[in-house]
Amino acid sequence: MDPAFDVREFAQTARGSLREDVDLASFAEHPLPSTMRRLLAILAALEGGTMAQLRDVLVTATHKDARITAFLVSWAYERFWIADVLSALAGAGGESPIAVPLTERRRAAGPVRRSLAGFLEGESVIGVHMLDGAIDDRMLTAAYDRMGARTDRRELVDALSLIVTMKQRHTAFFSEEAERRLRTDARARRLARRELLARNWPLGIERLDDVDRAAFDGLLRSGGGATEEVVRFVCGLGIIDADDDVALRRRLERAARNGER
Amino acid sequence: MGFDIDRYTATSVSVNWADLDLESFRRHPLPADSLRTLRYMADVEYHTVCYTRDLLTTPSHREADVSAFMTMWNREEFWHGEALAAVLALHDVTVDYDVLKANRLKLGWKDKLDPMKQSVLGGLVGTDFVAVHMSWGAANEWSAITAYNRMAELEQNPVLAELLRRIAKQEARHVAFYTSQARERLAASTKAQKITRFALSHFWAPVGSSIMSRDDVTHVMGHLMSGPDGRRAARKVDDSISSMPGLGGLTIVQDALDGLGIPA
Repeated sequence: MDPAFDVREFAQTARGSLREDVDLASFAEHPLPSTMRRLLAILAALEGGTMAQLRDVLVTATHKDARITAFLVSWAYERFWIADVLSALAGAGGESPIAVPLTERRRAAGPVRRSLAGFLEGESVIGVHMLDGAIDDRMLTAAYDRMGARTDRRELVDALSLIVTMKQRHTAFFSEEAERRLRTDARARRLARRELLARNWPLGIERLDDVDRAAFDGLLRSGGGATEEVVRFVCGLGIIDADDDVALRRRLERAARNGER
Repeated sequence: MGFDIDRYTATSVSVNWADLDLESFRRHPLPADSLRTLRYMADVEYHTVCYTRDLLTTPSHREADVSAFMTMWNREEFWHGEALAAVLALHDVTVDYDVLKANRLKLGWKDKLDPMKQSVLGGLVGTDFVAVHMSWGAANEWSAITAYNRMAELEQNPVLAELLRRIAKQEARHVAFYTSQARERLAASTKAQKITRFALSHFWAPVGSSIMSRDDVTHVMGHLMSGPDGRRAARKVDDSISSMPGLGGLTIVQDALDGLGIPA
């Protein structure tokens, strides 16, 4: 079946800077509480880690698929501006800008290992990358939803809703590609299952320090966590059985707290 | 003065051609030689995301400025590909995702090995390796501007010339980024100068050489860079490259033309 997502239309309508769409002046005048600003900075760091994600994807067969790379070019562009406005919101009205550094922990799967693995996995790895993106988006979108529910500041709710709207297109692409590729490729399903039980989401969470990871985890849990949404999506793909279901739940609930690999 | 990354990101746009009368190509089609060159250019522009991969395997992407630049650069180059594909489409030459994928699949093992090679080299050489990428990028972007300008001069088609001028204008900002990065890194390290000089003089080849056939490379270089005017343009690129710290006297573009047998 041909994909329904129109990559060309997405590329043509990708959104740039959001600073004009968000009432930054009101945040400068009435700053958000520092815990909220810290959470925004954490989200900015996670959204801003796009290049590391892109690297992991491009060193494998995924880079051969021109439709996917066309999507990723615009996706990275939108993520850049999402991270930018989150940083601006985190810094607005504060005495000093809040920057959340992503630590350079030794990665279990650097580019050499990733591309070596890519040799063996071939095109099947594309489905896994799409699944990664689909889950990552769901986790981050859940975080924005929880944040919106925590505040009564209309301007913040509007800003978060704008971000979520942008992310819906990303989620739609990743989900469609994951479903399409995993349905028809048994090897991709096997790889995806392995990935599900070994990866942390949102991507890059393990690079936050313990305090920030705990803060992010607390945000997700404040609305019941993103686990159910992710598990529902993954179950629909037919790649996990009942035992995996339990393991995946544990993984999703534990990952944010411990940043385990 | 350093490159203003905030200004660059804030003003980065996809190249616009909606106002250009591309339909005029139906009445005044470009000759086959020019279409072959444009096709080459489109393939190279679309392939930028794959070059990005090589940069991303070095420590450079951890720096916020480099990361921001690459995000915008990638998108601008993608749109250059789209613009050139639109011109080609009016000549019934199709460059769509399937065609691009087929070309990428043809690249085979060398393409698969590149990221590993880059990553291992980056690991061995350390941060000085970033200077090689930045200088290489500067050489490629200077070459791209020269190629677009030469194409506009040779073709004398006002619609094509305007489109190529818009593309070259964006490439000029890419040059500014790469040269500011390269100069700073080269000036700070003699080791970076030596490694970069060695890499450029031994391995640099015209943009697209790693993804297109030798026949195509020879065609494009012959089309755009042969004769006294072409050679003068090549010399200008070499002068720019050799003005960077530690790279004095390099003539990599002229050497490449000689290697391909392009008449001066």
